[in-house]
Amino acid sequence: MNALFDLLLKPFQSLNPVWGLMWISALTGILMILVFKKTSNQQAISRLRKKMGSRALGMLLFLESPPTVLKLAFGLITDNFIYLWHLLKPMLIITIPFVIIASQLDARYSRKHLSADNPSTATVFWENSIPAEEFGKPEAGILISPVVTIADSLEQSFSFTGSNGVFVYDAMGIRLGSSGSSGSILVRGAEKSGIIQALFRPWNAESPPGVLKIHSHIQGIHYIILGGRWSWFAVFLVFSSLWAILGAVVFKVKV
Amino acid sequence: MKRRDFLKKAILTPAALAALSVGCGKTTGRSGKRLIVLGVDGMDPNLLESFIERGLMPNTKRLMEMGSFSRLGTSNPPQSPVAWSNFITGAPPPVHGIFDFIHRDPATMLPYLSTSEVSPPDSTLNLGKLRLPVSGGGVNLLRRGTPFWNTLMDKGIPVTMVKLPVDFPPPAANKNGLFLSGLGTPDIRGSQGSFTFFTDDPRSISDNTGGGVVIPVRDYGDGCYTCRVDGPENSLIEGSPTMSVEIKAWADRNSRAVRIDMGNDSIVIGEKQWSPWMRFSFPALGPLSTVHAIGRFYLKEVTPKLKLYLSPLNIDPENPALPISSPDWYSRDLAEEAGLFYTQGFPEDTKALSRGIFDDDDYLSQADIVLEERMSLFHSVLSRYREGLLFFYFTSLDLNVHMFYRSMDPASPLYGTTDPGFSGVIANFYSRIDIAVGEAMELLDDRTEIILLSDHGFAPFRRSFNLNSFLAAEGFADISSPYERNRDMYACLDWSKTGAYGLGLNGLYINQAGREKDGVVAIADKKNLMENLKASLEGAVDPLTGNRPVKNLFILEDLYPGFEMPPWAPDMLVGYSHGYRASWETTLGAFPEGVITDNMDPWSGTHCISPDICPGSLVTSMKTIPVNPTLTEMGSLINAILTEEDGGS
Repeated sequence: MNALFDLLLKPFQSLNPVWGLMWISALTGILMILVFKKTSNQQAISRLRKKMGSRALGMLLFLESPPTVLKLAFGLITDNFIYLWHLLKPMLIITIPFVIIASQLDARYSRKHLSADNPSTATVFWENSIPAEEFGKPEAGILISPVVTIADSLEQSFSFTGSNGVFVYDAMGIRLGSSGSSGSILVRGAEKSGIIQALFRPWNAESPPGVLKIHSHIQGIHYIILGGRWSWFAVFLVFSSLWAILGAVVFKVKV
Repeated sequence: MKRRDFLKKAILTPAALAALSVGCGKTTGRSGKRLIVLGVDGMDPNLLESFIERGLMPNTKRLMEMGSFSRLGTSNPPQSPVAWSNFITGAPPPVHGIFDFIHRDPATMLPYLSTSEVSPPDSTLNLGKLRLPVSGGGVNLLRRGTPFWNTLMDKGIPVTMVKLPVDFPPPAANKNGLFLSGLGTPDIRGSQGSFTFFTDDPRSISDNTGGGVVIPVRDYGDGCYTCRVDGPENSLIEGSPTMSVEIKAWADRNSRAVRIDMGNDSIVIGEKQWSPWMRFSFPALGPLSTVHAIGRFYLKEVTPKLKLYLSPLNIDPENPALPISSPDWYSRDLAEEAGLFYTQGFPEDTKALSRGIFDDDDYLSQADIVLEERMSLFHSVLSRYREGLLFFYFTSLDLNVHMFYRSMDPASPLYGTTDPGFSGVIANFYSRIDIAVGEAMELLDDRTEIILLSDHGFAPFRRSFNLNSFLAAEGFADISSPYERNRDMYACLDWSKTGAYGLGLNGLYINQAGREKDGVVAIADKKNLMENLKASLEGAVDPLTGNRPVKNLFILEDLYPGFEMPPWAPDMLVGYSHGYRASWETTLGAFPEGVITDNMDPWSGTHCISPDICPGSLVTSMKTIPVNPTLTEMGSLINAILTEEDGGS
């Protein structure tokens, strides 16, 4: 999945991250609206919307007749439920790729790249026992604190900075960070591989032997857009929605 | 930032576009001149000359040789808020209204910070326990008068004032101005800097709350300490309860380190290490309203006892809870580029050193961080600077000389107990400021000038003068409750028999009938009493040294004839002699035993003395400057330089 997205997002890697994220959000919005068009019953939605429009008009026309208004209102409520039912299938179909894309973007655009002036903290959860050998000098990056062992547990934590975007402890099998290029996955932890990890937590690598999982706290990033500070998710949500609306108009999608 | 990056950013953000209009605008209709003013608080001319002679300040020496060097007349009293207000308004205290760090309300006799105030809302909407402000309320700058830069902005000349003292909250947004508040900016709790110290060492726990709080914590055997960090009061809830967040500190005594968990964030620090800035969020109204702050942890010790220091919680420049810049995006923009920085006015934690929470090494490590941050901010500001006025303020010399004067003063009572290794500390800070001067000088060209100035100089603070105790001993004040002598705000006084009282670092007040809450001195008797006080104080002798602790007693109406004094103004200013200063107890109205005592506080340098003893410094790239210049003339000089082509000179 990661390799597929690396390929799909390659055209955006030369862009500034904020522009890359905005373009990907725009394409995602258009893609989602097209998937919606394909997977929804457009004719039924169109008919239903006309019907709902006529019921609303009828309510305005028969304001002097409360029983008629009530009947039309009841019909409108029923139509709304039918409308939601029509939306359910395409929304369910869209949700999975949407979450996968969002997870990939989270892995690529939500954190600052590791650097000397960006200290981060990692916690290693060992499977059975803490190994006797101590953390030595990392192959890449710098250990900037002693390693803290949490009493009565199998947790060890340390703070570090990266060099060239990565922090590497070959002896422990720890590798965090990314190549540093815009839009590449920034690994910020590890866990045992599985479908959930592969699809929804692409920021986690495969746990090295003896390690249950690794968590790290790497500083989040904010994007300056229109004078405001936006999280990656706000950029994604707003721009994908805007382009989905635009796509609905251009491609005549009944929503 | 490179010009290309800046232009890129300008395309992306309206904020940067606004900056572009300020910093890189067309010069049509303006002189196009540039003036960099480096405001270095407390740069003493004698020390400056000495360090230049020793070759420690080559850039400043070059600037002097190129232009001019002079002593700069300071304010009376020579306190930073007063002096910088003189600089800003070009007027003396009766005009700008700042006479001391501390003023008092004569109607209530309660002290307050002289530079800014927080006023509660005029009306609130009460919904159960909720108190929603409807109108009024906010933070007000108490400095009056017209700042000199208004003239420049009116003429379309860009003005950038970074870390400007006595300018909190900053002025309203102006298309020609960028402002970041400096001295006077509070921490998130509204104080001038209140640290938190978590410890399980009973010897560190005391009732003394000066400068911060010590919070006892306990390890229940798992190495985990649960620590409560207090934030500001929540004025949206009835009774304004204090907002707080909980953190956990996991101690590993083998590796001598702790892991600090706060919400979703964690950091590991070893002994004698500082954390990076950590973000604190205090929900005031659930997710609808959150107060953001930043703080840094310092692990002083983890074994045998935990000693974990948390800096005063500063206003987050990227998400300010109170206005610290104008326009409001400016602090965020600087933080994005230069990194988070101390926003409080007094960033060096001198109180932690005075209270023994820090030792000299701990304090210096923090002072280093402050200066590094300030330099980073300076680089960022300098790289954006295109034209007009750029004022940049450094606080390091002032606060560090206050704390380490003892290291170079053999007559200091603390000289013998100060590690000789610290004897070069002050020289080191001066030479680092010299680096900033060198960087500014790289911009010198035929349309650019540089002014390096300080608000005052320095002198040793060897002996503490208990002004109020002196007044009591000489019969000007009457102590009715001797057991309350050490309590603040005149708890021991019988006001009906008191003619005068001291407050603040230099202020001396007459207990005037009709003005003070329990005033007894009739206006007709006031002048006579002041003359008696002058004779008595100027004639006082230190029995230990034989010196006179008070060089001059200034009567304000003689000092500023023709000015109407506001009710909060002191009646007299005590101009202490070289080596003396008001005791800390005097500043808040206590009456300790003894009139003159050795100053055993690391705060061993002072400038709150007679102004002729501690002038400031003025170094410029210009050959011609006013004769015997004073701070109040600097605004006119700056305006003249920048409006030269408009006939401003």
